[in-house]
Amino acid sequence: MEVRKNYSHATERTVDELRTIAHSLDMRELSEISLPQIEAVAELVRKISPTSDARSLIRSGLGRLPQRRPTLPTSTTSDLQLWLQNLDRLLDKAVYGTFFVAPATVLWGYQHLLKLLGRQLEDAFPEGYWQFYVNYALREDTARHAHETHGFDTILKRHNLQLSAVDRLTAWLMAGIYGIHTYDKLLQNEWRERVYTSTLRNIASGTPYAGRMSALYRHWERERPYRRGPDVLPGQDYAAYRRAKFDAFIENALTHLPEELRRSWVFAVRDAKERELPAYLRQMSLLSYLRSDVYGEERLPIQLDEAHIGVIHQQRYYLIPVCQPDTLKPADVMTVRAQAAAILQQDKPIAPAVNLTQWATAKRASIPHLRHQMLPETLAELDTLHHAPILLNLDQRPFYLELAELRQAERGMGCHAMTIFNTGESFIFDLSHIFFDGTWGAALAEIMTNEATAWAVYLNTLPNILPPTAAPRALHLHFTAAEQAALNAIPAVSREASAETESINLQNLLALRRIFKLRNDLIQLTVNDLLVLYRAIHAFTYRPDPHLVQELRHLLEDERTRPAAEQALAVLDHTHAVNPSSLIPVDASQQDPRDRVHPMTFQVPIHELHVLELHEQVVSALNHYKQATYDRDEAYQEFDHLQRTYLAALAGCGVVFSRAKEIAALGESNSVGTIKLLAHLPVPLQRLLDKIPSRFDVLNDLIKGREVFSNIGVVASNSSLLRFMSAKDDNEGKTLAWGVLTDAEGMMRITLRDFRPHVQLLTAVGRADLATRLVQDYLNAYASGLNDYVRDLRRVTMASRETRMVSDVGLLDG
Amino acid sequence: MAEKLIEDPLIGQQFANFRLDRVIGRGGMAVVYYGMDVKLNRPVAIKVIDARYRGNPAYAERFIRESQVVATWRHPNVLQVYYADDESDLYYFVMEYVDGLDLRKLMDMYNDEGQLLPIDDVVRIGYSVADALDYAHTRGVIHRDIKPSNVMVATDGRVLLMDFGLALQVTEGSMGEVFGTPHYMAPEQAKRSADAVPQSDIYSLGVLLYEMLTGSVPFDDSSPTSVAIQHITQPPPAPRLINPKLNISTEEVLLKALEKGPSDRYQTAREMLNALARALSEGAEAFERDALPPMPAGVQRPMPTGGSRPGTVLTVAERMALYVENRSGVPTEVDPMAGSTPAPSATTMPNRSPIWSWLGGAVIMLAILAIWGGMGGFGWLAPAPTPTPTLPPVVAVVPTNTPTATHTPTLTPSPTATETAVPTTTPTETPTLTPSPTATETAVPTLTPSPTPPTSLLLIYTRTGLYVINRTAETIDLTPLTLNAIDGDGNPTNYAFQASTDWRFKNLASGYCSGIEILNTQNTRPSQCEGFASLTFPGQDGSQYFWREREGITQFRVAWFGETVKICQIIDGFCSVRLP
Repeated sequence: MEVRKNYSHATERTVDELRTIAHSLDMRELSEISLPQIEAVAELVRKISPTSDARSLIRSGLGRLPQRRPTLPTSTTSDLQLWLQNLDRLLDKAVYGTFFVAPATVLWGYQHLLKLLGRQLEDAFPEGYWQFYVNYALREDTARHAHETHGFDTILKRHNLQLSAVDRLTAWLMAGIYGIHTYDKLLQNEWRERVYTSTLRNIASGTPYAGRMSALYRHWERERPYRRGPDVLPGQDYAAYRRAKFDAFIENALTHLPEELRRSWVFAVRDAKERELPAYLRQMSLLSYLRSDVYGEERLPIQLDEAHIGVIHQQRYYLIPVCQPDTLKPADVMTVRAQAAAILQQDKPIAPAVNLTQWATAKRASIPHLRHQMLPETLAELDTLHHAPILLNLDQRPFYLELAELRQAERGMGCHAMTIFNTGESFIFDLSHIFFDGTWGAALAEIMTNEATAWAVYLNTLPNILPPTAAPRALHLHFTAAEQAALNAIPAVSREASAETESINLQNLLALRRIFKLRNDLIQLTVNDLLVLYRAIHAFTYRPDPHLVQELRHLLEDERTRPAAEQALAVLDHTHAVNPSSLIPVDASQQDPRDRVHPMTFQVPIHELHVLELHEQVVSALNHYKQATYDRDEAYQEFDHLQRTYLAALAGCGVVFSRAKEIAALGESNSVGTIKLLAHLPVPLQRLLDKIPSRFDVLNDLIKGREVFSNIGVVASNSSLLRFMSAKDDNEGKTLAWGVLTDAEGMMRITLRDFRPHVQLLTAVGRADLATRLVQDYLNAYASGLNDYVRDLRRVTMASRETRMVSDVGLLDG
Repeated sequence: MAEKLIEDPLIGQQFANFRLDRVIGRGGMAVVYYGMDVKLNRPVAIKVIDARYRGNPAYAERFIRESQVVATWRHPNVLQVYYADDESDLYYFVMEYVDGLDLRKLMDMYNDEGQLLPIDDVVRIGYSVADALDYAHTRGVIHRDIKPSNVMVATDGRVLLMDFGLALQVTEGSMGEVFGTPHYMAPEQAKRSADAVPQSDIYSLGVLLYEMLTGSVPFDDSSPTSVAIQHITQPPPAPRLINPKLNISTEEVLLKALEKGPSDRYQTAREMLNALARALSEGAEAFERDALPPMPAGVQRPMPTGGSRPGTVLTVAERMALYVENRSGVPTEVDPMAGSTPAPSATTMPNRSPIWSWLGGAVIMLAILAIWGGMGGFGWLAPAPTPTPTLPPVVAVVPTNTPTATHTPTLTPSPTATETAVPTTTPTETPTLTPSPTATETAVPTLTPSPTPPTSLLLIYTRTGLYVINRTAETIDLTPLTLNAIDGDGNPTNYAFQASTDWRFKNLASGYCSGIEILNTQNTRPSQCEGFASLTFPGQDGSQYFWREREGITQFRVAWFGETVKICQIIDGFCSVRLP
């Protein structure tokens, strides 16, 4: 209640302040650049922000706008007046108004002022809200996500292909080289598949063909190949193969449409292609590296003829050009093979070993400062790595490690789109969220694995002789003492602990969904809904393993370890008091490929629907009924009532989930709405949202959530994807990142990254093992609890009135 | 046979705009010619009623009917008819010319290697035939002769249904003759041809699918009548008895397709294929997931020849690519020591010399151009005999230990037989005339190489590039090899090659081939260099490479450790040398 009161108070205060601004407005002045209302808003922001120069920040923000002196359109003056006159009503009606504290409202007002000055919110997000969001909030090393594929080694083993180390490296280098060369074609496919189907759906809307067209993309998702099939034409690369498959698919769909609709579709996609495709290709290009400044990441292009694949071998960095010399053609496989042979020459390494992990884990905002402390020659050498969008780390990592642990190896400077690790059994793709969202990253991992396998098969046909070597460019780097000191001193990202499980019984989950459907069509909870629903239940019901608690208590006795133990115990106590606000990425690419993902922050309405209480009651009532030997009718009535209520509550949950996803898919979720608030705001001011959590907590929650729950779903039936690890954004308040993937065998694997404060402290006192056990216990409890919960739900949903034979009763009596 | 073809009086004639160039198929009642639409300058296939039947109105009528049936159709899986006419009592019609193989031959290739067509190809071919059939059925036409040899798989991947010579207009009925091929014939059609219904074609397609998936037809016997009776009376053997890898769903689909009663079968061909595709995909994911991928697109030649990769099955597309590659340009088997006799030129068939290197080591080459056979009616019954293509008259200087009748005096130089001879009291070795160990007309000053070059090292020079194939049991170091082009007068030119510097892969493993290949050539590299090759591609501009043909350069010297071992005479852009 206190929070609501504060919200209300803050809103009223803001309204008053904005009204003051409104009353002081002079419409003539409004058309000038020295806008008094801007000054007023700036003043307001200054009041709530601990910066002495908010006014200049906002001015600088306006200065960045393409039109430096915005003129007020005639029609806008009346709009503005209307808006100001109806401020109260607008604020009441605003979707977010009632939820935001004063700062958010101020930002909202600020945006409206800009909007009325002719600025469109969308102009601030030329690459869509998600791209803005990732540049803004997914910069750090912890904001990387990872995928694991096993296809390469599985197929080689299955076919008894013995590949030399040189050819193993060559296969992956060639996959990377061709991946870069065909990347635009792959992106074009992504764009075409989405835009062609969504355009068809839109055009057919309202016609008798609407039904057939509405599920077109879903059908294509089931058909789309991730590898070249046996029907591939000679010389046809994967991108061309997939394009041909899609063309055949869409052609088939078009045959059902009358000529007029077909023509409309052709014009629409042609128009979209001209307007949107080039920008999409620019936005999604892999040929970029990240340059960090204090407030954000900038993607700087890499020219194709300068692009390289970076190779890390025994902590030495090498660069393999992706083009043949003086051409834009892909590097020749034999040349690459010779370079691979040179890298793997054990007896005479051609480069010194170097440790860049501190650079990779440094806070990105600190990088500019760090660079200033490096000698020019050191920087020049380091910056050669900018040419490597893909790094390939050959130093074998143990395959049994969690993905979060597995990637803790040399991975460049944090500016690369992709780093690939080798476990000897599988390959891990560590991906920057700025380049890849979860599903695109998974797709690319699959595609590259298949292409590397194809190269392996080819290389296996070559003479098994040691090819001559051709030394590649090697990174010759040696940090001076001062440089090393600067590296040691740089602030690093939060330490994390991680855990994984595959003990969730997916078949039971699927069976439950079928039972729900049999029981009532209205209970429409997807597998992901059930996972998220139980995550909320888990948060409230989790009780740590007593042995862990005991161990933590034991650490209290030591002064050195006490703060860490206190923190951990506090977290464990606190966990069941909070309904976690989860950020759930929702695919937005069907709406607009450039948007990629719309973040949806979601809190399960667990209290509002009394889910916990109802579950307990209904299970108890069912047990009572099952055991009752008399008054069975009454016991059943009680159970029946509770069962109906509970199932209705679950159906309600499903509706809330579904509606939230629909809204998110349209880009209208609270999170997206909140991101919109940042439109045209100067970058430093945007970053203030992180710096002043006491004032912006609600906003942060809305934008980023307190944890991320990302389920990339079931992979294609011929996929070799195994595991998926989600990213954690840069919000320090976000403490858990859940990643879910179901492999081709129907095995659901969940990874959990733990950034809760005790992890850092426990690690600092040498008890990272305990932090790991704590998170593993947390995840195990989730998995086993979910299995139990699903079992209970199945019992509850299936239970009906039983007829008992007298003898049964007698047996029970007996 | 080639002579017979040349004797065909129609060759060289022109009907309307169409010139008849050569015979590509010959059936019981018709001959098919490869020809040219001289106005549009595009190749065509021209089907002409055979001389023996020209006077028979019934055959003429059927001939005309076939052209009329499909003349107005436009379907990607039906061979298109461009034109039909009669001229001087010669009925003919002109069709789209398709370069490819009929399904019979394609299946035979797989069968010869103990393999079946890949599932994806079975489904793709099945769908194509199904779509063509449904298209015909909706137009009231029953094909009545669905069989592998009437399904054409083009080199560009298309699948076409051909030969509507037996097609029956449903509304018209037929005379009741039993036509068609008994192995693929539906029971009702076997009883009486006029009883054929659209589902009869579906039955035949079912047999075709059965064969593709199991490797054999359900009923077989040396007597066609016996086969027909089995179709009428016997249940087909369960497909899984023949191919246990098939799942039960696939078996069910095939058996339903082969039901005796037309109404018990699938009612449309696509319905059957949908069911089959679903059935085949059951449990196929795991198999597909672990299957070897095709060669990467970045590899110049995507698949090996001379046999499948161990444990893998070539796709139809791969086979077609192989077919296209092998039939043109330089013959696959170019080893001049193979003992084969160079075949006469096939002057009527330029650039059409398919070489089925994967079928065996035979040097015989067949020109197979949309040839399909048939067993009755107007089907093209058997492939026309084709001339053996040109083998370049390979002339190589090959030493042999057996002296021949054409001894050529050869100077064996001595280190002292030069202008630097030093007077000595020791009698010097004087130049002697020794019999040449060569068996050809080319006189070559040979030297006794020192040290002796490896045996069974084959050097091949083509318009594609330069190749060395190691047929010894050991890895061979190629660095001693040098080549030097010489002009018509036998003088060395500036065009030279040194393996020690110009060859990327100097150690050549046993059984492998190493080569430097000119990019963008239309010719084909030797088959030995397909599967196990390490190739270097020097760049787009081949002008700097000595093996590019140049005026006045017709031979080159092959040297080992600087000593000339052979002179390779370039004839028609080709030369090969077996190093002794």
